[in-house]
Amino acid sequence: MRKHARVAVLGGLVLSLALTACSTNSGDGSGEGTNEGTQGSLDIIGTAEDAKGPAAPVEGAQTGGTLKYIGLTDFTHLDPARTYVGSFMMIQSGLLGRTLTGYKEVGDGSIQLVGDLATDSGKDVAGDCKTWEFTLKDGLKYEDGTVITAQDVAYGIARSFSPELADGAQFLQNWLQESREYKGPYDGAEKVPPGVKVDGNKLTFSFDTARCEVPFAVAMPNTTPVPEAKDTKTDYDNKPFSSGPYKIESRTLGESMTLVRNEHWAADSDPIRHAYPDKWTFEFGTEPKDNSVRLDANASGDENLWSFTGVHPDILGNVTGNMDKYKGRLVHGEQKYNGYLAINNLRVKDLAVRQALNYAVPRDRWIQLNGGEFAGKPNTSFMTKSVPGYKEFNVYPTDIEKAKGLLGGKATKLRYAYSNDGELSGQIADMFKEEYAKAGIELETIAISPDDYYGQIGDPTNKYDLYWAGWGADWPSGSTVIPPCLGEDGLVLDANTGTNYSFFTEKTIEDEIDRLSGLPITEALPGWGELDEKILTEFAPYVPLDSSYNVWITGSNVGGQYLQQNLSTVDVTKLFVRDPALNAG
Amino acid sequence: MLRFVVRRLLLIVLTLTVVSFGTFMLFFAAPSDPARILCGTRCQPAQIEAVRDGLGLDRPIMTQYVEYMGGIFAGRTLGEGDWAKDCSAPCFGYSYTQNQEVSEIVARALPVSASVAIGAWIIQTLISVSSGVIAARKRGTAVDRGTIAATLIGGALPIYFVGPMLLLIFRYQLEILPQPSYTPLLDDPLAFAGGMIMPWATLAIVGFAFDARLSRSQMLETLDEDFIRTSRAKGLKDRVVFWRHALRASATPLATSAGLGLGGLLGGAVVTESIFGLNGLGKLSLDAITARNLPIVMATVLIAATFVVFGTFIVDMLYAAIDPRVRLS
Amino acid sequence: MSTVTTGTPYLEVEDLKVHFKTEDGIVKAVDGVSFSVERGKTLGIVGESGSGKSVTSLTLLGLHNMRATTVTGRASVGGTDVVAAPHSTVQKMRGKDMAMIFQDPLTALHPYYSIGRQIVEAYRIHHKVSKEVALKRAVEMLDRVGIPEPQRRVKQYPHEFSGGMRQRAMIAMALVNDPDLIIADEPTTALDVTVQAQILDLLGDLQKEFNSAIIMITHDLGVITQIADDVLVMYGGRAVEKGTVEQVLRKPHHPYTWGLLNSVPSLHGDASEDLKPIPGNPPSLLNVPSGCAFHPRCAHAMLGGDGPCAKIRPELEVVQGLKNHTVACHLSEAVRATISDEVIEKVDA
Repeated sequence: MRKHARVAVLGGLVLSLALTACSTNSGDGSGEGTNEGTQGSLDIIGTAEDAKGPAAPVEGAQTGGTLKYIGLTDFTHLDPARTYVGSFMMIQSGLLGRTLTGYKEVGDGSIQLVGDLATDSGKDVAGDCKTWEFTLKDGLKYEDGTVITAQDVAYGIARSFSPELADGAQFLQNWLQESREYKGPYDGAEKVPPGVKVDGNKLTFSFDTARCEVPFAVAMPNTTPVPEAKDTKTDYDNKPFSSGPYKIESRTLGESMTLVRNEHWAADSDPIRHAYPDKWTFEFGTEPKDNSVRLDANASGDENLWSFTGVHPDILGNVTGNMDKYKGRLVHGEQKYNGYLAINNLRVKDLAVRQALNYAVPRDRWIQLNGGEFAGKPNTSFMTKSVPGYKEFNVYPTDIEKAKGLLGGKATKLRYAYSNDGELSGQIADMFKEEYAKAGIELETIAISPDDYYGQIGDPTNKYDLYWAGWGADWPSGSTVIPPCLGEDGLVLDANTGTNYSFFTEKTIEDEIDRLSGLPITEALPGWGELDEKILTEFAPYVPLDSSYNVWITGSNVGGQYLQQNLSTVDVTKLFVRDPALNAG
Repeated sequence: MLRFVVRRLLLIVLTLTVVSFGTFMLFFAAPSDPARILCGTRCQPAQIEAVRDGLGLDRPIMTQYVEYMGGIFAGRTLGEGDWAKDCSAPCFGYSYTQNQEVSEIVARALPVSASVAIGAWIIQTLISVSSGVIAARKRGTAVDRGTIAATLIGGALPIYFVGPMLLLIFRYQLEILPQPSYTPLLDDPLAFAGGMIMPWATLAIVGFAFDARLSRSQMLETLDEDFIRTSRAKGLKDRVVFWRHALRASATPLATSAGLGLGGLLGGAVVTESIFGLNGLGKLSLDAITARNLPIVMATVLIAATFVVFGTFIVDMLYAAIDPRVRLS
Repeated sequence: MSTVTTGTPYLEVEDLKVHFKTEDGIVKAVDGVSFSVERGKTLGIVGESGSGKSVTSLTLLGLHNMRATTVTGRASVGGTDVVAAPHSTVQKMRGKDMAMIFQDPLTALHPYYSIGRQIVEAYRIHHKVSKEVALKRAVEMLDRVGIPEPQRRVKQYPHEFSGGMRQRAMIAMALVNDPDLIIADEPTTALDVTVQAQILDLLGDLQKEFNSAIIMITHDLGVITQIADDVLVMYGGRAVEKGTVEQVLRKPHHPYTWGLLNSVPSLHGDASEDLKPIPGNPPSLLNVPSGCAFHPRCAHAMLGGDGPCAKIRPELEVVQGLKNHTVACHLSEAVRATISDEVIEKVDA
């Protein structure tokens, strides 16, 4: 259940791969404390001026020194075509590669989409969202000093069409060619994908339908330039060619990696990255708990440690109960990920029952069982705070009597399925059973093998009524939250790729989704929040539970900790070594 | 003697063949689709095809087995066309999740586990056997009672308690030991030992009890033997009787226990490697099982089996060296 | 204290007591035993298991379990009281002044060392000679005890020897230092009958050659007849009858001795008719019966009323004025003499 999702995050590999597209991943909080409840700014699209480098200095930041990462598993995919897990994307896009657009922190903890390789965040040529133009900045270079060209960006996108490399986000590819006949640049095929035109340092994307969120889509790692000559296909994952501030000096897969400065990276051209440390080392293999214990101990020689792994639940209490002790080493905050009880709308067709489930939900006990306020915050909508356009509402305040009234004394029996991944999941199931019984809803709890959980709940013919699921926005817009989870987009025939676990669709809602999708970003953003409220009020197709919260600690010699909202994890672009002389070497 | 060795070696080959075949059947002939599992949940159909092709999963199972075994000795090519991978001998297949040949991955992990297990084994054997033997020599004294108490405590402690405790005390609190890590012995012997000391100590503390108790009781049992009485009746000093005759006679069961203990330590290394974040075989196989990375599971099982089988072989050889009665049979 | 023969005994044991402290109480394994042996003579000690005969011999060599054991009395071996002597003195005497031959030569020989090595070791403890010299001596000894091809056999391990050959090797090892006293603890029990006789012959020959004193511990009266000069019958940790072989086996005066004789299968008669095992079991040394320890099993016990057998412990007393034949029994001498004759008659029949 909840724990499951968290483990997926920490554990990295398998589960994360299964979940990334739209479920919980890693964490987010703000530097040197919290940006608790920072609501995503609607003023999210930056101008050409915002796209100019260098990035504004971080207060007190020093240049030099080595930062040392520890974690359980290696970053499985660093090939920009294939990376999709929050922390992997953070390493690829924060340190090794640059994308057409990117997110920069604007000083108050909120983020803004700005041109990264491109001079601005994209030009909607005809104002119909069908043709988008990006121009590359001058003086952009790879790690070997050669010039980054628009052709390389196109080639990077082209290779992300290849089925062998299809682990990354698929938005841009699907929009460019919905039929997906193009299979990448290999075996003699075109080096430029359909719908893309390269003209000098200019790239033009043409779509059949209005795609107003292209500026966000091109911030995904698959717009990272890849020179054809350096393309090593599946092996590119092991050592991607750098266009960012650092390059891979050495790497032993699954064990360690060392990054050193890419001398050809021009800070002047980069509005996002700071690149304070001279060197980054990464060591993999430590269990999450041991990781946390080590970070907590901050023993001599370990002051430069940091990790994407949040503080382990077993020692979370020590940290949160003693925050002063960790001053300057702590990041914590709310993440973009929600947790909710999906109601199987194909089986539970009575609105009153779905509403009763909402009125009677034991949200506080849920949060308490999952680790308390530092593991999750109550959430009463589908979208979470960090997504621009989020609307706060609570249409079903907890009220057992109201739930009883809605059921009208009818005996209601429902089947609750959960992933049998540990003691906690069983305790939670018992808790739901006990609490819902108070409202007259009898739950039959059914444990499912963790390996098969998503396959089963994603199957429209499943025989369950209620089960946990989670989701996080791919980019700061409700368009990556509502349609995949509460719209037809998420209803796919293949159980393993479907993301609408409630199997909920409504004509009126589909129409509104279509309308919002055709609007310019800034106009559409608040619309998604409104739609979120409308869906829950009118149809109650799910029961919102919480938004995840995470806490990270670093060694005492690490500065610039900041929780980046978009990837909901520690932002590597701002980290620095407080005393570069300490643990140098 | 030569016949003895040859017979044992043939038995080893047979055992390993059976193990490899069994493992292969278990994993590759299982009802689930190995390609699908290998590829991950979000895998595209084309990727699955590529993986299936790379593994040769469309061919008869016997052919696959023969090719797999052939790959180990002669190398093979996995997949076709643009995506073909040359996999040189010993080829244990290709890990699609790690983009590496399994043999490369295993070759990196093996020395780590070997260092943990063999180092711990040497320390554990030395400490446990000597303390058990000394306890038997000083039977009934404070030394003996102390040893018994230590084995009772040691035997009750699980690795996942001892490991973190050592880390907490010696690394985080006292800060007198380095963070456990693996440095190749030949690169820097000091760093090697420093990085290994806690894993060794952990395994030795946990494994100490069994061998110490065994050596003590074995020695006491031997001391009750008629031939010990005979040697005393000859006028030998007690010291000589104990350290020469009794120890020699106890050596066989102790060597057996210690030899088989090496296999046990490989098992203990799994947990230890996880605790100390060492990327050895144990951790590798654990992760591989979780991720259902069959080629790696297969390779680690084979290697572990080889270790255990050769461990037994070495014990047999030791046996023959120690006990004249074995040589003829 | 009476002695069996009149010469100067090499071994003189007086009132030897060996008591073990156990969790269940004190075990009186040997409770006041006296005897002596001269050079060139053989004393047979007879008794059931648990009678204290083996503990007695082990105590002489200091090989008994030292823990929680109290040994009192006197045991002079060639003039040295081994009860009072320090451990190191006794240790130095072992092998040289007194040697021991054990019952089961398979377990009594170290399985991992060659026969030669074990004999060499025994020799070199008491003789500062090179290994080569000692090995020559070992070969000599093996030859002497009748092991064929001693040059080859000396290199072999105990498991490569047959039972009889092993016992010969054991004897060779015991005699390698020419000991004055040999204690043989059931040396033939583990061997088959023909080999038994050979070994006993060998021991007899060797005794003549080396003029040693021998203590032969056995439960087999046949062995006693064949090799011993004197006999000591033990029961419940004490001596119940003592005398020459002729006296004890031809004119036995103790009901227990009668029982022993009756339980020996006759070579001439019909075994099934004559064989009368002693009823009951040997006493627990933790809780020895009061009075005469044998009384619960004794067909002639005088119990009830003033009957002394269960109340008073009988001391060894001279039989029929024969100074060296003693017995510990409450029955009157006349009654004993009558029964003795009946027993012998039956045995001879």
